[in-house]
Amino acid sequence: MREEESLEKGREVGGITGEVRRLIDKYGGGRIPVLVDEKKAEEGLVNEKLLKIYQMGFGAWNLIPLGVLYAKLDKEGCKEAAKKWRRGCADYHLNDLSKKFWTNVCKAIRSTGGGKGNEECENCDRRHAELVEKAENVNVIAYMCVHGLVDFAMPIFVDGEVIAVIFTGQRIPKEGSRWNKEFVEKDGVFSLEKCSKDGVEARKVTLELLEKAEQAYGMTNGILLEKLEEDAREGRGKIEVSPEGVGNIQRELTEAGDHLSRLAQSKYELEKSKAVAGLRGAVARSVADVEVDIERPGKTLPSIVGGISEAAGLICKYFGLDYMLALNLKNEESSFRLLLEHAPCKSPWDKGMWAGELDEEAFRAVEEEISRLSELDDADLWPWRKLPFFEWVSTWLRGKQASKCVATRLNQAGLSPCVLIGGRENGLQLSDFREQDRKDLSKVIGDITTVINVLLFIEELHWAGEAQELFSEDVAHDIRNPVQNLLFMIERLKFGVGHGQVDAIGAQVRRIHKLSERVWLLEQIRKEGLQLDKTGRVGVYEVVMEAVAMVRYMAEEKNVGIKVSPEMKKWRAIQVDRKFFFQAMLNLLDNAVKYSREGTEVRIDGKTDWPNCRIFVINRGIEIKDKYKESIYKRGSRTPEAQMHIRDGSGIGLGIVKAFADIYGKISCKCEPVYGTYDFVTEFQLGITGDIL
Amino acid sequence: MTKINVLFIDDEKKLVENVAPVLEAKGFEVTATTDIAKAIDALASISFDVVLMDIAMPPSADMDAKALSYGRKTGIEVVRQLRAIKPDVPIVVLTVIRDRAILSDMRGVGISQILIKPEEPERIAEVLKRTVQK
Repeated sequence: MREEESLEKGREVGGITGEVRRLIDKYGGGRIPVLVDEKKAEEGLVNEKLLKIYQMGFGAWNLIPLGVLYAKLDKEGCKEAAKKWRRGCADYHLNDLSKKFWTNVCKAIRSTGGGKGNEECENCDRRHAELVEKAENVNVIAYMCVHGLVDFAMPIFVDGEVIAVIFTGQRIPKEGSRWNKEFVEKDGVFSLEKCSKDGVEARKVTLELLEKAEQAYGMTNGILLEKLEEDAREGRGKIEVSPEGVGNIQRELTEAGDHLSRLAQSKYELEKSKAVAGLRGAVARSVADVEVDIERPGKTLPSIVGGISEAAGLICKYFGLDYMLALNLKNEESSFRLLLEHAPCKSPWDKGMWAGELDEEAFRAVEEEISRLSELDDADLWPWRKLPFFEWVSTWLRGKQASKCVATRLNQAGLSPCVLIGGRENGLQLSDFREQDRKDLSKVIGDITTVINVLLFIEELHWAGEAQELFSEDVAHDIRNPVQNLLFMIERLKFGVGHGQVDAIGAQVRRIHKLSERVWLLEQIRKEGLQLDKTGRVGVYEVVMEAVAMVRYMAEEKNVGIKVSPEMKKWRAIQVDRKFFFQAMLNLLDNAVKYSREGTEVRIDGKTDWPNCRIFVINRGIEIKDKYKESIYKRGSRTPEAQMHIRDGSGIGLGIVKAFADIYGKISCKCEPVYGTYDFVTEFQLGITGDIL
Repeated sequence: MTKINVLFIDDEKKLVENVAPVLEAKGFEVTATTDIAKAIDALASISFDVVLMDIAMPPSADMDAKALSYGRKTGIEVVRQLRAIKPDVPIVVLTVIRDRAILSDMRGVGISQILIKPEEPERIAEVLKRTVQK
């Protein structure tokens, strides 16, 4: 049968594509056959069955054997340039599978010459793979290989990118056929794209090259032609092709390539949708746990963390990442914490290095660096090397040969979680992801970040709940104890009035009154319903002494002295709300006495630099750690040390002091070690806004 | 009639000062202290019929304060120590704490009765008597 007639007959039954499809239906049993064989994922992902089907379909139609195949099959969707393809037929792990598809001619050339033949063939394959990749179209390239055989390179596309190239062909130019003059070697590549009848007698070139190979590899003269005939005899095809035949084969192969590309695309999308569905499922389960168990944070938090970890594991698996880190940038506390780590290898975070706190300047520097990142971005690790804490991130990632990593910066609900995703050992970059993958990844990270935010929110609720419970208990303690005292004191009165009993009852009543005043004042502040007197002039010394008188009884009980600087007598009056100022001073002194060691002294000093004045309240007692310096002024806040040493107290007093300071100036504190104990110094600045008269 | 011997422990100084004379007037023999260590020593050397104590107290120096939730559960640890010395002495708790988890912990260490402050002195005396009679 003439070649043209054969092609005509083939079209009647659906051509090569029809034949492949028929065979696929037969072997595939309705499933989508794929280039990536799931069952052989461990040993190599090339689906040999599909290639055989393809080979049979192709061979049955074109009478041309399958040659070699280059396959860069990466189910994670990370592309790699053709020039990096190392083998003639590579699986996912770049193992050489090409021998399974070699023809007799291939075997003869590639197995001789001490590997030189194979090397030349591989180089030739690689050059044409690069040509196909650069061509950026679906056309099959026809060319004359380094040994003079007419070959075809068929690209397989996923998302518009070449993921595999199937090399096939191995014919020699038909005797007497004329080929285009461009059929010459150019940069080691023989192109047959523009072949025509009026060009070169190509067969002569082929025979010369085959003879040259035979001589170079020490083969018997004419053996390669014999091998071609052998292939033909085995029913695998003809040995000749004309320029017209090349054109027809190119068209048919392009159709077949389209079909295989669609299959690969379907498989890729299926894999990706499975991956995304898996990720979303993991995230959804976490969210469901949140809904079900919000009342039980002890159970909910591990469950959410488990869900996030599962999602992170899936991300790593499906997007080909070695590790994933989720760091939370905590604005309020100038620190970072590792929310999530999914890494098979040991990292510095195992040693807890991630939990470090930064001073304000360092924190701002890191924040500025992170603010440069968009929602999903490549992060340059180099500038990070100078940043405290992030130097660990940078060092560790660079230790993994990553010069960059993928990072996200998302601001939700006032939080700034910074999610970092590490890459492969050779340093994954965002540009390595396909566009769709990038979108999917961004969405999933967004979902995970949402869950992390929910996690943080629950955590905050949990701690707020605990704090509220403690606060209520502290207030209850401060009310119930004096009432209990009163009940016993009154009972005692039945047996007669003893020395100091009335004073003691008065002290308990004042204790309750003081607390009720504070609670009322704090509530007014909370509701912003406090009416301030803006006209009165207040003598600082006078108010301080009044507050001292109120705490004197308690101080004497503890054998704590109170010393007020007489310099303050000379101060000018200031314009503040007297009642509020008195309450603030009273609370400061009350606190100072309460936390003083027995036998020590509370000192009240002052400095003026009109229109500003500063009041210092100094007491000697327990240590207040730096990290609590801000939080001690929050309503209901008590440091663990305070709770440990002094059962009385509810954290209301300093809340009022802070509210006063916010209106009239500012407050700060420091704790200085002194001979095995600590001086706690509160500095109260007033008149900063010019309210001093 | 033999007086009921009570050990009273509370960090509230004024309460310790006032509970003793009131209960003594009601026929009790009272040893009252704010010092946990002294209370434990007293229990080891004196035979008490009942212990009346607070739960929320600052921990003593030898206690792991962190494990005691900063004073909220100090009394529970004290109860454990008292139990180790005198397993059978009944213990009545007088506290401001209403936290269910802590109350549950208290029952777990064999507290006879829990009274929430403020409580009438008369009722406290009745509960102590009834507890001893049991």
